[in-house]
Amino acid sequence: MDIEIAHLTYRYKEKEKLILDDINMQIAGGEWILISGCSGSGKTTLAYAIAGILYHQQMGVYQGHVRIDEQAIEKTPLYWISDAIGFVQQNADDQFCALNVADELAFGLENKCTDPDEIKKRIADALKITGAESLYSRQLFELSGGEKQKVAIASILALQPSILILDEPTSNLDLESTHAIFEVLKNLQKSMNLTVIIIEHKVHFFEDLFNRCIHIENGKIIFDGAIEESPFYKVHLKTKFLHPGEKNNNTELILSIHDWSYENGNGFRLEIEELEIQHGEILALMGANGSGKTTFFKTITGMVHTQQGQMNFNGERVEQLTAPQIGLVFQNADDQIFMNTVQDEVTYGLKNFHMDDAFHKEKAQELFDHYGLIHKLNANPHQLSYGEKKRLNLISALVFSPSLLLLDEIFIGQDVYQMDYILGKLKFLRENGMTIITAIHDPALMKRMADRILFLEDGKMRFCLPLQEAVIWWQVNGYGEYLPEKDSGL
Amino acid sequence: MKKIAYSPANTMLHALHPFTKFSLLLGLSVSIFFIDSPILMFFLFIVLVFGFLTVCRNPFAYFGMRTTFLTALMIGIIQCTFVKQGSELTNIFGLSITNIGIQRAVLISIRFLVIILCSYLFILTTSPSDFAFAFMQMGVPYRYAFMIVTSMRLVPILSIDGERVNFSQRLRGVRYDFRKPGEMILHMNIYIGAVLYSLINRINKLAISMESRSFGRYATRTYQNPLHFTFRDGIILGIAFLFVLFFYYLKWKGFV
Repeated sequence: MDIEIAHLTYRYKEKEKLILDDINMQIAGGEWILISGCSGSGKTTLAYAIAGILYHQQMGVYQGHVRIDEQAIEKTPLYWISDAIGFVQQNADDQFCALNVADELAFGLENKCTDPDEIKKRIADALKITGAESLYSRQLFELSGGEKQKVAIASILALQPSILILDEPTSNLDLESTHAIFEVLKNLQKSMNLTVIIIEHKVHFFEDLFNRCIHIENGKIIFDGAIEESPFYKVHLKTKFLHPGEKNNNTELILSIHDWSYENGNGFRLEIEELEIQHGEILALMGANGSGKTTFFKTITGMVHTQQGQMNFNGERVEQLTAPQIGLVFQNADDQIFMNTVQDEVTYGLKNFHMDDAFHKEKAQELFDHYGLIHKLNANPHQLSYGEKKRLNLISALVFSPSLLLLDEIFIGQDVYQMDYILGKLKFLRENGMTIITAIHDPALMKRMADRILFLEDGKMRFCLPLQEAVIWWQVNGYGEYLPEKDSGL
Repeated sequence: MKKIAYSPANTMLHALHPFTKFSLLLGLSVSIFFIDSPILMFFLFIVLVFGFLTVCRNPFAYFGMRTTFLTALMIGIIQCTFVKQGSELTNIFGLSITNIGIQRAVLISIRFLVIILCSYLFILTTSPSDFAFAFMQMGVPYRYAFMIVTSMRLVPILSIDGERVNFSQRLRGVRYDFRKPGEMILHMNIYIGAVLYSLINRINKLAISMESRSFGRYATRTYQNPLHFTFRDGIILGIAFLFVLFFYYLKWKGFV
């Protein structure tokens, strides 16, 4: 099936900034296309437009046409478009409509009134292609991130679309799961004659699969051609940190944890025997999805209560770490946005802590200036770009000058430019004595910033070692995917 | 500890048609208020406990089960303490415990347990999508019947979002202090706004996901594993109906 996009323009409201700016392109049946671009450049909006969702949502000003084999999607109800197009959302959890894998896989087919025997056959085929046969009888909430993504893809493949669109399918996944999705796509390329459009930041993982790359910036296509000719996909992180052996001589402990354990009641147990963190260190918290990285943050901040353990912060025994001594930034920027203006967002915390004095207000202004939001003080935070929201989260935490900053997967969904920008800011913070613990997946990021690595596996702390020693540990124990020499996918 | 949710298994209760189970649940929940005999109530309770044991080995492994039994115990104690009718059996610190008090305590606390355990048993043995299908078989349009599935999908997500927003507020210095109602209302307002924003986002994505997989395309839909109302369902419903009739007959005659 061929896709034709003609003069496609989209904005949320009249006279507002264009999200898609006169997009024109042709996609021939069977092509595999990679769409790249910065966060907020319009990639997902374009994918929504091709899938017909953008027009049928009727939430903005839509002009132009998308045609699938000469048929305008604007004139076709969304529930008919699914015969031609399958759309896999960024977060599998957002896509799931049922409670278990079997029902999820059957959902679309049942809606199409497919015969039950045919449903079973198609499900079996889709599970085989995605290598997810063993998941059939499982409940969705039991699955890991990678397994969920496989089920999400299988549930779309079962519908046998001619065009498959994947919106950042690996953004929430660890390296192992990312490789698994790569294998699924490779298998798909061999076994089915599909048109595949993928939006992905981890370009290097997928470059062998795609023969065409489209790069978007500010809603415009600025490159459309062979992937190896694209000037944009070989962009690398530039910021590099000096490691503490060369820089930081402050060996005083900011945080120490002993015999730390937490059990969530569903069989998961977090165990940390001994952990000591010095002032001014950057600790990369690494491990597969579900290894306990977020749970670790939850336990030390008192979001969940440990069954046993002792924690000392700046030499004093504490039950939990609390703001404003620490700052915590979540993976999802929207979870930490409450107010109607950027300025109020930061002053909200200051008022609650009774710190809305001249000194802190001035500090907030400095931070707005430093993080490039000084001209958006009256803007609605929910209308900021993804990168800007992340910066606002950082300002809201940094305005209290915390001595320890906890970052939970904040690089997820960020393009290489945004990552580099945040890395630069973290470097500045560390040079000013701040201690940072950051949960990350990517070895390239780890190599750039981490002084030491805290490695968790199935809830247990395997080690907390300086970067070089961690690399040796991984090499010796066969954890090749964590080695920074490996292609990072950035 | 596990959450009370549908748990697939090959028991007879699982195999029953959702309509049969729902009718039994409704029938029992209504009839139980007409049972005044503690012995009959205790018999029903024992039957339910056996039902539970066929579905799970340790009912106390579920969240809320201990609280349910503790609440039943509290109800019993309150009944014992405050019901003054009947003859006094004993006196504890000036509180007389009567025979009718104990009878009422057993009756009401077990009645509470039976209703809760019945509902739990229904949830544990009935898949929400089968339940939706059963509604469709009863003539309810599947768009409405499916609301059960989508709400069950969204409720735990909403609860996680709520926890996260609450925690984010705490990180920004929010304390819900009852002595400052104005401040508390402001924080609650902000909390509800943030949770609603997240919920609307999720509903929007779920709606996209459903519609782009042909939800609503036809007035009806097929099911991978269609449910059939079997002979066994008929027999069980029949026996339950006869049991209820017999019970009302005994009640009318003044035997129970």
